[in-house]
Amino acid sequence: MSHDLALVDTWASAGNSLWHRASALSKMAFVALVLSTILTSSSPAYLAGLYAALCVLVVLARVPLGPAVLLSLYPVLFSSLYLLSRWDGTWTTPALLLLRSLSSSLLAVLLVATTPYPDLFAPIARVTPRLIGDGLFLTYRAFFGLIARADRMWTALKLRGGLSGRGLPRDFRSAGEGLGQLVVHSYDRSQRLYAIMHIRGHSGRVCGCRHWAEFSPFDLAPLALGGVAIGLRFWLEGR
Amino acid sequence: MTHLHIADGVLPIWLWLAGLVIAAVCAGVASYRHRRDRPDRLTLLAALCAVMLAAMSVPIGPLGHLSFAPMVGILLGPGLGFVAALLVNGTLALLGHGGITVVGLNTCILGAAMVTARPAYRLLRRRLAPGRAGALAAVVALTVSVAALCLVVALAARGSGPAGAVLASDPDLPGMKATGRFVLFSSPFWVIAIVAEALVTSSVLSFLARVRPELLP
Repeated sequence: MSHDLALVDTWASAGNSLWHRASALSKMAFVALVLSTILTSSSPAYLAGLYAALCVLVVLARVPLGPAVLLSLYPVLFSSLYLLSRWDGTWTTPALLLLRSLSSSLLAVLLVATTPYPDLFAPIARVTPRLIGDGLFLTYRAFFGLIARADRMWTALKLRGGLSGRGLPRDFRSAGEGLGQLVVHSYDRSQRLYAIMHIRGHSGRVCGCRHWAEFSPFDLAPLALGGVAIGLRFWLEGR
Repeated sequence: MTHLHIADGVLPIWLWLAGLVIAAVCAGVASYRHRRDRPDRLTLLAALCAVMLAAMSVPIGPLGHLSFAPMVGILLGPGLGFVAALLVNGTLALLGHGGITVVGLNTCILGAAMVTARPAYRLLRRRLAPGRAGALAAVVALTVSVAALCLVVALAARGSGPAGAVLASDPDLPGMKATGRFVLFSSPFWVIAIVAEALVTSSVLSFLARVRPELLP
């Protein structure tokens, strides 16, 4: 999982497709429009078509389809218990819920894989308290900084027999010591980051970039496609 | 296991909207109360959220993973702990791991563990060593969180509404029966997850007590 997650930041920063060039605001509007159709649609055919269309958009945005689809599968795997407990004996309800889950997850992955995180969080930071807006920005930044270190640590633990599978309590204790090291490392890193921010004249707001609202002709695609999704939803299912 | 991995479009609209409102109010109050904190608390909050996200990549069987919520709750305290729950769930939703609309409910469920963890730890710490106090505090915090999760599932089964509430409008599946079935299917995983989380929390706290005691409350 962590390997796939680490790729998301690379896709967002290094990509140069038409979708990447659209502003964060227009892509967020696209997500809001399409999500509203996902939430209100009761047609498996519409949702299946939407999922296929999202896969095409992922490919057009030059984001690798396999890892992106894999990321969108996680909630389906974890919500299986819930869906199983609520099964009513028909195939329509599980299909509907499955397609809703898949489509909304892929939608989020498409947004985050084509939008650099400073642009993504800048509009959120404008409408939330400082602790939340800047916290989200710094969390995302810290996560991608930490993930490679965490991967190396798990590998080292496995190689040295810390997670051998011979005794679960011992394994969890080893995992705990590894996580303890990550806590100490993260604490030291956060103190260094604060010192750097202080030296650079931190004035109480971290996330101040303005690219998220720089509109261009590339914004027409997300807005038009969002409108098409709404139109199709009403055309196929009515109100 | 102790937060709701349910994607968008599964729960009734009124329920996830209520979750968003409750989470927004609680996070707003917490942000207001911590507005005069030293600025380095913000970087610490982000760093511990990142550790939580990294810890979530540790699997517990095929359907669960560590949450690290009690540990971070003990280190940050109730207010910042709730904000951390919001930040972690917001990041997870963006990465396709859980729905965007259920961020509020997930925050309330995970936040319940984080808010409870430090008071329970402080109470137990009077009589026990950090490791044991942390393990028991993790059990208390996660039990509260699981109770919140069951409450959400029970409410979802009771509700009715428009197209968004597919499950809630099923007349052949009474709410209590569906909730009972969910608890029955999930409880073995909860027990395993809580024991694993308690062992990990105990281990991390013992480690921190040895190498960085100043980090502990």
